[in-house]
Amino acid sequence: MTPELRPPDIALAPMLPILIVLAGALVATVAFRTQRRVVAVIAIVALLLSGFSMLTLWGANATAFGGSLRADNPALGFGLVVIVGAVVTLLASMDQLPRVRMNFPEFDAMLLYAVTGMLLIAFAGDLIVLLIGLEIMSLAGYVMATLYGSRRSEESGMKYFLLGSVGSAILIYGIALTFGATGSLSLAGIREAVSAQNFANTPLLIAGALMMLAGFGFKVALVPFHQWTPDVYHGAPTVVTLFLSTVVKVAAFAGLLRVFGGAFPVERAWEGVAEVLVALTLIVGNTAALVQRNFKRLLAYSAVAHTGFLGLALLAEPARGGAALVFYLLAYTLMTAGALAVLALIQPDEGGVENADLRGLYYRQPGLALALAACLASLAGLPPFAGFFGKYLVFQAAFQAGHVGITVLAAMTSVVALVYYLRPAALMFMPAEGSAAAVRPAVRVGTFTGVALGVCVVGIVLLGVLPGLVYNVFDAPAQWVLASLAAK
Amino acid sequence: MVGTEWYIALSGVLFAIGMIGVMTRRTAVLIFLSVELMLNAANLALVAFARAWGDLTAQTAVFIVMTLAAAEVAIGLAIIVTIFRKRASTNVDDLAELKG
Amino acid sequence: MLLIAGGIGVLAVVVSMILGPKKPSRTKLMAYESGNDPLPGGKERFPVHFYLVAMLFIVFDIETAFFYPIAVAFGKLGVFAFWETVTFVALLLVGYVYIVRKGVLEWD
Repeated sequence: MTPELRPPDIALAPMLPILIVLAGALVATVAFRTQRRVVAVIAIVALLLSGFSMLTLWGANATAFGGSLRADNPALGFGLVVIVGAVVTLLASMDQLPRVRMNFPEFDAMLLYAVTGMLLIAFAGDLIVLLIGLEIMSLAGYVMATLYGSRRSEESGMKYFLLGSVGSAILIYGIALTFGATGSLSLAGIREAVSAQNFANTPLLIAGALMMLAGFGFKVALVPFHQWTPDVYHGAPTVVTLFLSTVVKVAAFAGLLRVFGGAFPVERAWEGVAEVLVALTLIVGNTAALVQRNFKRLLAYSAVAHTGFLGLALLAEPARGGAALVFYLLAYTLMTAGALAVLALIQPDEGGVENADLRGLYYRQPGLALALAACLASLAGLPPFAGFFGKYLVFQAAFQAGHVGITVLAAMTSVVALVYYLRPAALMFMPAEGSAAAVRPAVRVGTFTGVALGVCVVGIVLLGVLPGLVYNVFDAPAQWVLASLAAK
Repeated sequence: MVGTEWYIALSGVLFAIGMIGVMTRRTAVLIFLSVELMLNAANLALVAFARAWGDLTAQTAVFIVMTLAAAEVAIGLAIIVTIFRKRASTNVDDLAELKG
Repeated sequence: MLLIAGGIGVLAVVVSMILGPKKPSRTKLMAYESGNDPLPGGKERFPVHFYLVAMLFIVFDIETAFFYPIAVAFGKLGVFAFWETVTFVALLLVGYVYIVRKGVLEWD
């Protein structure tokens, strides 16, 4: 049997954003005698160039390799959110990493490799490409969590690695079963097979879909698979936590939407299970955050809780939920990044600060306190900030898709969320009394961190006041339909 | 000729053994071994399905999964070795500094 | 027939295991190394260098898995595949440069 060999259709344009980041990563890998600051600047430039090349691809619906790589608007949207998060991480790391003696170019190299993987996920039109991207991202993430040689960081890296690799294994098995049921690995092919009811074995397909859901569940921290999240986010250096809790989640959600919004649109047997998982995530994430004393750990559980809110958008049709998901992801990235960047500045060590130590922060560091307050208010979903519209949009999407019960549940848990976000926020504005020693007396905010915080806060406010700025761009249902079939 | 379902049954058993291993073993290396078993179960399923469908794409996927497994081994061992250097134990129950 | 034959075999082993006399002594419990006294401890630690080299070996070894299919189909693949392979090797080379510069391959 000699299969026919077809030369692949090679189009460099849709690969360009990925290749630029990869080139940056390679440069960072071999940059030996260079100062880390220089490498970080190179990395930022690479990311910005990549973002710019994505803007030029906008609306072109370019594909390469017979649809295995597709740079359609949703992909570009997720890609741009990833770039924003990665740039903010790098900016925050410029002033932070020297302090924790983690100031080596490998950090930037790993970050750029991770971003390469994320862009691959976002651009994937094929389960193999998706898998490669996911693994590049995860492997780089494991290394980043371990890079800082403290016992806590190593513990967090080990936990992340073991549970992450279990998640990957389950995901790969799910991919195998899905292939077995549909005979195709491309998202468009699976979609075609599923909608034509032309698959060999329904139980096989459902098992495959559920295992993929579980595998992705590990990556985004859906509840039964979330156990690693608080430990990893707490133990990793704060800048790495910033990266893992924002950008990695964006990419994993991009993958989820690609698979469950794009490939399995008709066969929605997975939906009931997903609904239960999202409900559990909302309940567990929010109630666990309520009892946390450590602020960093609180933010870790808040990341779990937000997975629940983001999951709501997945339950809706991609045409509706997709736009809400991108908006919420952007808002989530900015507000979480802002909160963690402030935490990185005020913490005495990488373990974060206790909630009680935030007392009186406003009187020592008014600027930082106000920025943190804005981020927390946005995370809680208060109106003038982006988080409010994010929640509003995902609630609306889930509600209109007929998931009334879970929307009500989400609304209730977001009231709980209000409590745990506003408690530390309120503490900051109370006059300090005596023991505020744990928070370093006064920190100078470096230029780069300043820029990062500025981006976050301005972004939150801007998106909160003018949500249409971003939402309207993505709110065209047609572009969320996997465009492959038309292109074929 | 052996039917596809037997291969799938075998791969399912392998996957289950791996899963049980992950849940019951307490040393990092053994957990990791179990994960590798799960990956190979997936490989077996992919190859079997590729033959059933007469489609070679899944076989290329096997190559890629093998490479991923190798990369995971490299990074996993590196992490395990770093931890072992400091603690002289790779028992995951000893990793309990982070809780709550 | 097969069952009876197998059953007798299993029975013999099991019965002797249950009923047979057991007098373990230090010498009996010792690992058998062709009559020599076994070397102490199988649990010596190896220098970390072995692990490093082993890791590198795994990574670079697996990459050859990609070269076999390329070699088999090379005649039909054309120029594109050649440059693709060159790119692949170049990427590996970056890893190699990193390893050499980090001094992993220096044994002292």
